[in-house]
Amino acid sequence: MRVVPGLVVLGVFALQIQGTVATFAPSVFIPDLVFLVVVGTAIAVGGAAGLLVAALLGYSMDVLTGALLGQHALLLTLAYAATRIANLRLNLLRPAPRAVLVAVLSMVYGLAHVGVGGLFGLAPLHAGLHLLGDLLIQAVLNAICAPAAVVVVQKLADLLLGDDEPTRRSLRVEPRGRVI
Amino acid sequence: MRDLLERLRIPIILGLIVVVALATMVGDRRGADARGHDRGFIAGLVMDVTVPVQRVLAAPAEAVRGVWGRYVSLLAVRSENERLRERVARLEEENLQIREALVQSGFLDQIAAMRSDFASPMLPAQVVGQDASAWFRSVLLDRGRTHGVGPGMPVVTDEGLAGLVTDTSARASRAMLLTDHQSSVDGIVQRSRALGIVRGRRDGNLEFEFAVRGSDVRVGDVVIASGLGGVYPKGLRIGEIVEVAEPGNILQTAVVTPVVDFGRLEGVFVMLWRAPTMDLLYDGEGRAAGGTP
Repeated sequence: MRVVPGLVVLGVFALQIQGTVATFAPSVFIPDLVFLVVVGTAIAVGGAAGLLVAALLGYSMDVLTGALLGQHALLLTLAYAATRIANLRLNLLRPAPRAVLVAVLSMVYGLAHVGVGGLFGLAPLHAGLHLLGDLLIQAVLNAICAPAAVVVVQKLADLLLGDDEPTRRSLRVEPRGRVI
Repeated sequence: MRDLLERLRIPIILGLIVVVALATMVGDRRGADARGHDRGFIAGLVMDVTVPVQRVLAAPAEAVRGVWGRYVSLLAVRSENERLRERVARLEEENLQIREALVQSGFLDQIAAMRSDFASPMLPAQVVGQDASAWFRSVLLDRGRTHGVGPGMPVVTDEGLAGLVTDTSARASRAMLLTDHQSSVDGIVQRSRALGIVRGRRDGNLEFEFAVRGSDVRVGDVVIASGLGGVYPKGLRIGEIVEVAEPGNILQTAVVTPVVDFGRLEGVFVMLWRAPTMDLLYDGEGRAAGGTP
């Protein structure tokens, strides 16, 4: 289970970078790196370990943002679950389908944030053009960064898991019949 | 049975996480309406650790920005100096005229009494990080409980009102900015005394909802905190009206540009003051060193 602390550290580091860059640029123009780490974890790792990573990163984000405690934890966990289901049903091996999935998920994730805030009476639901613009910008940025994020998470997971995990032990595939 | 449990392991864990997250959200919402209280040891630790890490990460970019800023300032300093000298002279003259008028009308003592409302101590703080989420507008400050900062304290700059401290840890705190969609301040138009509520908007501006439809308001009017909500002291500058919407059936609104440039927020002051209503909200947690003025 070394993968859980490893990916949480990666996610928290991404969160720190995101928070720092936001002091120089509007936050809507910064890709949601934590969201990308969670999506990458869902594609590259999966299982209970991935769920735990999503929830822990969500709580870390809740502490450092203006959200309710549990808001990011809930939505990132659901984003993780949605990615897992999509990963089982669709072919997400190539970067393009990954980017499209992340774009769609980003839009839903952003809308869910506004919806949850409204549901808990924190703010009126301003579903104006600005919101739509912000959602689109975030979706495009996240989609562009998604393939790279998945690769980074994959590499880190491979490094941390190695051959320790029985489910990830390399399998030799012997050719059938005679090789000519 | 065991096989079934094994197969349902992931859905069960997912369900548990969702239930726990919902429970913490309800608890957080119920804990304090403004969501401003200490979030426990672990959350405080995360905030405390974040401050030095973000300082280190921001250092190279800060250095570049500092050099560039000094270069640009140098270029503009001569013309700005002349403009400011002219402005100071004009303001001094105006000031003299106003003082004279006040002395004659006997209002000077009342004004002096009002000024004492602002005599609360101000603690300088550095903004070490902005909200990492694109859906919220808050900043992380490098001052916390040990410096006397508590939830419910106003955050200001030399330009005007910037926000409100909502969370504190030992050495850091988080302040919700005026532009956050959850922020609302009781405001008043300085010229016509029209009252209303100033709310944050996603585009970085503010929305002024007037209490009375058909209020006297014009583009260019200055909006200040009215002090009615019991959260912010009266008189803090909020912004300037840039657009007045046609009065609707129920509400009249105006768009306000904040006086504080939130895109360049580096140093702020935390007013070590908390309104009595906020003391009730926070159960006396993090009481300000200066107390209520």
